[in-house]
Parts: sequence; structure tokens; C-alpha cells
Amino acid sequence: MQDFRYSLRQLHKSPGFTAVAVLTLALGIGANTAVFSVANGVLLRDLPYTDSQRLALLWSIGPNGDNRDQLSFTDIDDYRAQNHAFENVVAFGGWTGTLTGTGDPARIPGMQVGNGYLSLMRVNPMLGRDFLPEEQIEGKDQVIILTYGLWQSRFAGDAGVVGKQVSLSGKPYTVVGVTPKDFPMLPVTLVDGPAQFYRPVAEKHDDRQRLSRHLRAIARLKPGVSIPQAASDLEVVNRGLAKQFPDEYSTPDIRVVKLRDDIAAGLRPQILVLLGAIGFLLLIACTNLSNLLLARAIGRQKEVRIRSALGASRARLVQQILIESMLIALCGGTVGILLAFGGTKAIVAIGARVIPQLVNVSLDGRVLLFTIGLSLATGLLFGLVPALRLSAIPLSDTLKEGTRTSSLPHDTFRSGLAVSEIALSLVLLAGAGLLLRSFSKLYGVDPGFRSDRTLTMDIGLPSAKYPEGTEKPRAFYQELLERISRLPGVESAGAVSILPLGTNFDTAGAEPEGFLHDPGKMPYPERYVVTPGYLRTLGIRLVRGRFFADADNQSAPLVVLVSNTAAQRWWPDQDPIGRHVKMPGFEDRPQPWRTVVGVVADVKQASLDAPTSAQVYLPHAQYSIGDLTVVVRTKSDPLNLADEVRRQVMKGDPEQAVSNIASMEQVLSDSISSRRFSAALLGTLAVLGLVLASVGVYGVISYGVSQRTREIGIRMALGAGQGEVLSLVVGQGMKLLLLGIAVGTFAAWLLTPVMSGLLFAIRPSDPLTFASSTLFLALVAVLACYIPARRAAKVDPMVALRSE
Amino acid sequence: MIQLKNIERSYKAGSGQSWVLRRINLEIRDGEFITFMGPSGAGKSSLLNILALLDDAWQGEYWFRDQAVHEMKRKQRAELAKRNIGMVFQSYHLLDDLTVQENIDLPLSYKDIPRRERQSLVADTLDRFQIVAKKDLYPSQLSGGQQQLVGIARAVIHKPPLLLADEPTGNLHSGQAKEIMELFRGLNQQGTTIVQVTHSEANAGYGSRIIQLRDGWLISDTANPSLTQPAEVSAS
Repeated sequence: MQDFRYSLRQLHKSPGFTAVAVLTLALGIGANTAVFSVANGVLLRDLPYTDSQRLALLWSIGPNGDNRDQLSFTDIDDYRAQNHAFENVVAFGGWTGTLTGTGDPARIPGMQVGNGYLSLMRVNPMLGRDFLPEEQIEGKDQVIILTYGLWQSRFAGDAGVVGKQVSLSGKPYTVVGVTPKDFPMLPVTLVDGPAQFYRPVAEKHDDRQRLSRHLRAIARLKPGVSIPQAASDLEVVNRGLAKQFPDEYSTPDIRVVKLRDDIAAGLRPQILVLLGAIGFLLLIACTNLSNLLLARAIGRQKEVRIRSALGASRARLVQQILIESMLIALCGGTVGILLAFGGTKAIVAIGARVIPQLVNVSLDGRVLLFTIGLSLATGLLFGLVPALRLSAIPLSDTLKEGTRTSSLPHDTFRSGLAVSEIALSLVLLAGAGLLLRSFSKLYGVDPGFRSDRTLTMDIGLPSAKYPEGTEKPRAFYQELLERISRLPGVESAGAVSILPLGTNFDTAGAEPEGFLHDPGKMPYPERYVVTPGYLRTLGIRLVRGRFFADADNQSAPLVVLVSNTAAQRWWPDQDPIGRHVKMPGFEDRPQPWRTVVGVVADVKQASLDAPTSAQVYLPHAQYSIGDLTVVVRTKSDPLNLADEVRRQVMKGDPEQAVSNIASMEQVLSDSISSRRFSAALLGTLAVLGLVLASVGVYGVISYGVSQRTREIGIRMALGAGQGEVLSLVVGQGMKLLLLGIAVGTFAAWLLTPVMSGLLFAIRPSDPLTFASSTLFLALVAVLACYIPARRAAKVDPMVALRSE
Repeated sequence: MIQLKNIERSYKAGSGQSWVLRRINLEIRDGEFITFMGPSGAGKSSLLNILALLDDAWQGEYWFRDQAVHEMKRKQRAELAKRNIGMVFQSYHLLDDLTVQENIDLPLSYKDIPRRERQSLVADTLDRFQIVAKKDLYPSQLSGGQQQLVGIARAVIHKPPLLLADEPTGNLHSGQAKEIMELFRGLNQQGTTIVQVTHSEANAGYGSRIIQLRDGWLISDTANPSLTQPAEVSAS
């Protein structure tokens, strides 16, 4: 207790030292806590569903090796009926509808779910009931369950909402229930947008629709069944299906993954790299503090000697100094938690749009425990060495007045600390540099279209009012696009079913004429339904043949455009123009042959870093669907025209809502926002590390200068000029720098391969990144040395010598 | 060799000024062995620092062999000092981490002298001061007298015409002090002009001229018996 009181007094006596130490540590611990809270929220914490450890997702393995491919309703129905591992397997998918009659028309994302979804998630509606099995039959499926949020925002929390009718995409739906407030939707990585209502999937078992893989499946494992057991159980089912339907099941592969792991999957490597980086930052902070304490220890030698002379044991001395460092660490931890509150909020605010899983991130008991543990560990880490070194001063030196030596025996250790800081900092800089270079390389990838001055917005025509395959959607879009094209400031306009680099995708089984595929390896090109003006508006290049024309209408011969990759894959060394492709028609209609009239350039669909797959384009006039994204090329800032374009949509149908209004630049930018976020975060950490390391180098050199004032004075009295003193001091720093760079380069070379999954078109040992990081670090370190060196060069030899 | 005209030196003390040297007029001729004496605070060391060109903040005229030092920039003064002046300090001021040999070499390392020539000069000096056997020892391994011997060797290795010594025997016992003073006498006889600051009458006896200072004023000079004592000093 006495030691505790004395330590408090010591810290109070040196407020400057205490503030710097606490702040340095607060920065390190705060950043660590913030990143750990992200790791905790995304990787460790249970999902907010009852017994969520038993929730799993089923994915098929796509023909291109994609291990997150969707399933057909019939697949899911078979898995549900034939498995032995799950309590239940339920289909689900995203479904966006236009809600009218309750305020302005609005496109609201929702979820369509199979029978038993709510009971599988172990939740009871707060009002009303779950869907009935018979409501999963088409014709009886016009029922919805509202989420608490939608119930509040669009129905003002009306307690009598159950039984009321609402208009959804032009059809009357009866509200049958409201889910509780604390039951969250599945994240947007699994359903489109922040879903706000449920409706039945309402599909039926149909062997002919096995290739219509547009749904996902969630399942609850039976108690005691593991993921691998469940996966092998489903493989047995799949093998049976593959025998029965060889064309539809190329391999019996099926993937079963825990819901939490699936949600975190894409983020795990990024978070692990961030955790590593943040650990480095904390090490740098601890190293700085060790240095600070060592420097301070020199001023306390006399005190320690007196204590030793009065009988204090070495253990007691160590204890006293450690209590002090622990106090600093705990204060740093407390301030760090405050910083982490802010930091976590900032990460969530900035990152949640690009990484939806971040909404679960917050500081909880586990994070606080982590921080307390971290604080104590850092206190021990940075306090132990100074404590041991200070307590090891031989008593024989004690209390000799006028003893000139004013430093601890050797400063090799402090120099070693500075070298470690430089090395750690270089690893951080190299890591951040690699991510930044990857990011810039990615930004340079040709997406296959022009993103400048392009406005995009989604329109979903209700199928009740605009049935697919009829004249109605075609006429709506034709008239709308004509009106938009005439607007001042518009160069051209078109529409597409799936926007490149957007969040959606659409693939369809295709049968290219003369192309023999392996059994079960039917081509699944990306399918785009486009209006004639779309390709020109988005600047997609024509390679051969022609674009679609207005003449390619419902009464004209069926035509198709294929992408370069599709043409080369299906008809290598042949002229694709005039060849035919069979594409699925609307439900229950025969698949017609379409003639290839043109080849267009490949377009990046899923992401800029993914390889391009085969793509086909169908004219909207011959495949009229209701959900399209309007694309408008403007003469100036595209968003200035957003309101006018929206008015033109309302002019065509006052009940029609639009959603996802964005410039194409924004769509492109959003597609790489996750990488940008990681690069920015790691970049920030690297800069913080660099600042701390520079302060460390500055501290060591500056301390060295103060220790060498007499020596510098003598040298100047004996003829050394300012330049000689400058080079003496900077030279000392350069030795540390070179050693630090050597160690850091080796460490970075060892460590950066763990980042290879996060890199694009760059090797983990990219020499340019390593060289530029080193140069940058060297410049900062030279500056950190130069400041004390300048001070040294200004030493007045008279003053230095008079100190004797 | 040196002419000082109306040299004054003061320090800021609060709102006023504290004078440490007042109107010093002094001529030092080649080959002299001068001793500055006086009580503590008289300005002896301050005057020595000005002569050594370690101090820049004085007023007046300083002529070194017809060169107007008072008109020189700091760099030029440093160059002049490097070539012409050697310094011996009371507390030796040897660098703890350098050996005897390296300490002696230090002034040469700041001149454009080829390495081989430096080595030869260092060897000669070690021999001349009879400390060859100690060349690889560190200062902490030497006695006070030996350390001062190294200090003097270091001060004269580049053969400066002027050697300045600030209380060179202040930390030595009388036996060692005598040896050092004999060494100074020898150097002076070989042509080196020497200016020393000392409290010791015995040491002053080795010199050819004694100058007394008090409260910053030059009050007596054995070479100039007609020097009149300023009013401020006589009043005190």
C-alpha cells in the first residue's frame, strides 16, 4: 500500500512524463481494444439468435468452383426430406417489393422464406402468427410478416395491424404477424439490403426447375451433430440426386458452414491482419514507454541507491517500480477504453456500409476483460526491464558525490529498443504499402465500361401489374427511356437487369450450339437483359457484329449478344456471329434458340479482382421483365439529374418507386470499398506506428545528445565544427536506422505472405513497396535524428565545459 | 601575438546586466608565459575563454597576429582557433570512451591531415610525453596526473603557437602539479606561448608575467607597472 501511495506521488510529481506515458499507452490500448472489439463482434461473439451455434448454411459448389453457389427450391426440398443431420432445412432469398398505400411508394427490401423459418430461428411473432404450411402454395402466398422496424416506421406501431391488407408490388398482401424487436434479420451478405418483411417462397417441388438455383438454405443442426457429419450426410443425398439427374449435378459437392463462420468468412483474413498490425503498434508503444522509463530511471539512481543502502531488497525495488508502471498501464487502459469507444463507433460508422457485419460490433464484457488483461500485460512488459536494470545498479557505486557517470552502465539496450521500434514500424509500413499498392492496382483495372457521368437507379415493376413476358414492362421501359433521353443534360439512356459491380448477379444455364460440355458442367453464363441503348450508354465496347436495335422486338427473330470470353470459350477459332445459344425462357415455356448477332467486351461483374466469366445479353423486347436498373449518361454531374429522372418514372406510373439511386462511379467505388477500408485502417495504424517509432528514435538520440553534451563541448573546444557534430549525432541515429531496417525487412519478408489473400496483382515481397516503405521510414527517422543533432551542433562549448 | 582593446563581457541578470570583464586592454607577445590570477569570480576563466575563441559574445577588439578576430564570423574564428590554440582544462576533459591514443588524436581528426601523418604525430607525442605504455588505456584507468598529461599532450599535438590552461593543476596533488608545470616550462622554452589561470603562487612562479584580475577589471600586470587601478575596484 505504501508503495502504491509512493508511486502515485511519483507520477503526480512528473505530470509531463505521466501524461506522455498514459497517452502513448492509451493510443496503443485504445486502438487494440477497438480492433479487438471488431474481431470479437465479427469472429467470436455468438450471433443474436437462440442457440445460434447450431445454425448452418448450405451452399452448392458452382461449375466455376464458386463455393457459395445458390440452390433451387427443389434441391432444398430434397435436402430437407432426405437428410439425417438437421432438425429442419428452410429456403430463403432476398425479395424487394414496392410498398404502396402507407405513405409514399417505396421499394422495400424483404426476405422470402420457406416453411418453418421462424421456428427454425426459435422465434415467435410478437403479434399474430407464423406462416402456415398452406401459405407456401402459389395463390395462397399473399401474406406478410412485418419486422418490428417496418411496423413502427410504416404502420406507426398499429396494434391492430394483423389482418390488415397492404399493397406490395401491386398485389394485396395480408399482414399475419410482426416479429419481436430483438430478432434481427440475416445480414445483407445473405439477403439484399436491410430486409424489413417476410413473405413465403411459395415454390413447389419440380424436377424441371432444378437448375433454377436462386435460393439459399438455412438449417438447424440436430443436437450433437457436427458440421463435417452434416456435410457427409448431405453428400450422400447429393450422390443419389447426381445419379438420378446427371446433367444437373456435376459433383456431389455440397458445403455446410456455420452461419457465423459464413458471415465472417470474407472478413477473417482482414481482421487477423489488422489484429497483427495492432499488436505491432502496441509493441511499439510499449517499447517507447520502456525507453521513457529507462531515461527516467537514470534520474532516480540516487533514490534507488539510498533505498538499497537502507536495506530495500531487489525484489522490493522491482515491485515499487512495477507498481508505477502498472498504474500507468491501468490509466492508459482506462483512457484507451474511452478512445476505443470513439474508435469503435468510428469504425462501425465508416465501415458498416461496406462491411455489414460490423453492426454487431460493440464494447462488451469480453472486450473490457481483454483491455484490462492487455493493460496489465503491457505494464509488465514495459516496466519489467527498467525495473530490473535500475535495481541491478551495484551498491559499490552508491552515494559517491561527484560521480560523473550519469547514465546506466550501457545504452545498448535502449538502442536495441529503438532498433525494434524501427523494425516493427517497417513491417507495419510494408503491410500498409502492399494493401495500398493492391488497391491502386485494382483501381486501374478496366471494368469493361465507362463509369463517368452515369446515373443509375433501380426500378421494380410489380408483376401483378406488369406481368413478365408481356408487352407491359417492355412498353413501360421503352416510353420511360424515350422520355429520359429527351431530358436536357442527358446524352443517352438504357436499362439492364443486373448492374455490373452491383450487389446482385444472375446466371442461367445456356446451351451454346455445337459446344460439348462435360456431363453436369453445363455453362452458366452471367445473363443480362438490356434495352437497345444500354450498351452504348455504359460504353461497353462492341468487338464484332452489331448491338441490339429497336427492330429486335418480340416479333423479330430471337437474338443474343455474347461476351468475348463466352465466344472464345464456346466457339474457339470460329466466327460466333450467326451461331445459336439456347437460353431458358420464362417458367414452363420452351427454351428457344437465339442467334448471336454480336460480340461485346467482357465486363467485370462480381468484382474488379475476380476473373471474368462468360456473359450473354438478351434484348428486353424479347425477354420483358419488370425489374431493371435504368442507366443514364449525362453531360454533367449525374446526381443532379436524379430527381428529374425519378419524376419521369412517376410520370409513367405514379405508384412506382425507385431505389438505389447512385452514380456509376459510386457503384464502382462501393465494389472496392472493403479493400479501401482495410487499406485505410492499416494505413492509419502504420502512420501511428511510424509516429510512435519516430518519437522513440528521437527520444533515444535526444537523450544521447543530452548525455553527450560534455563530450560534444570538448570536441568543439578541440576544433570540431557544427557539421562534424551534426554528422556525429545523425551517424549514431543512422546506425540504429540501418540495423532496424535490416531486421524489419527480414521480419516483413517473413510476415507479409500471411497477407497474400488480401493482395491483388502484387507479390507479398513486392520490391517497390519494400523500397518505398524503407525510404519513407528512413526519411522520417533522419528527421527524428536531425532535430536533436541540430541541438547538439548548437551546444555552447563554454557552457558544456563549465558544467564540471 | 594578441592585442585586446577594451574587451568587455556581460551576462543578462534579470532586468539588468552583470559585468564579468570590463575594458580589458592587453598585449600578449610571442614566447611569453603569462599567469592570470585573482579571486573566484574575478573574470580569469572568462578572459581565457575569450582568448580561446570559445566565447563569441564579447565587445571590443581582438587582434590575433594582425587579424581582426572581432570582425570574423564564428566559423572563421573556429578555424583560427583550430590552427593556433591548444586548451588544457582543470578537469582534463578526456573522452571516457576513447583510449589515450584516440584522445590525443582527437584534434587532428578535425583537421585535414592524412591518416598516416596523424598516426605518426600521435606516436611522436606519446613518445615525447612518455606515455607510450598507456596508449591503449582508458582515462578511468589513469591517475589524475596521468590524465592531465594526456590532456596536455592532446592540446599540443598539433603544435599550436598558443597554449591556454585553465587551472591545469587544480585537481592534482603537489608532486603531480610540479611535473605538469615543469612540462609547461619546457614547452614555453621550446617557443610555445602559454597563458594559464591559477590560484597557486608556486605555479605562477613558472611564468614570466603575472596579471591580476578583480571584479572583471585588470588591476595589475607585472609587465606594465604603470597600470592604474580603476576607481570601481579601489572603492571596493
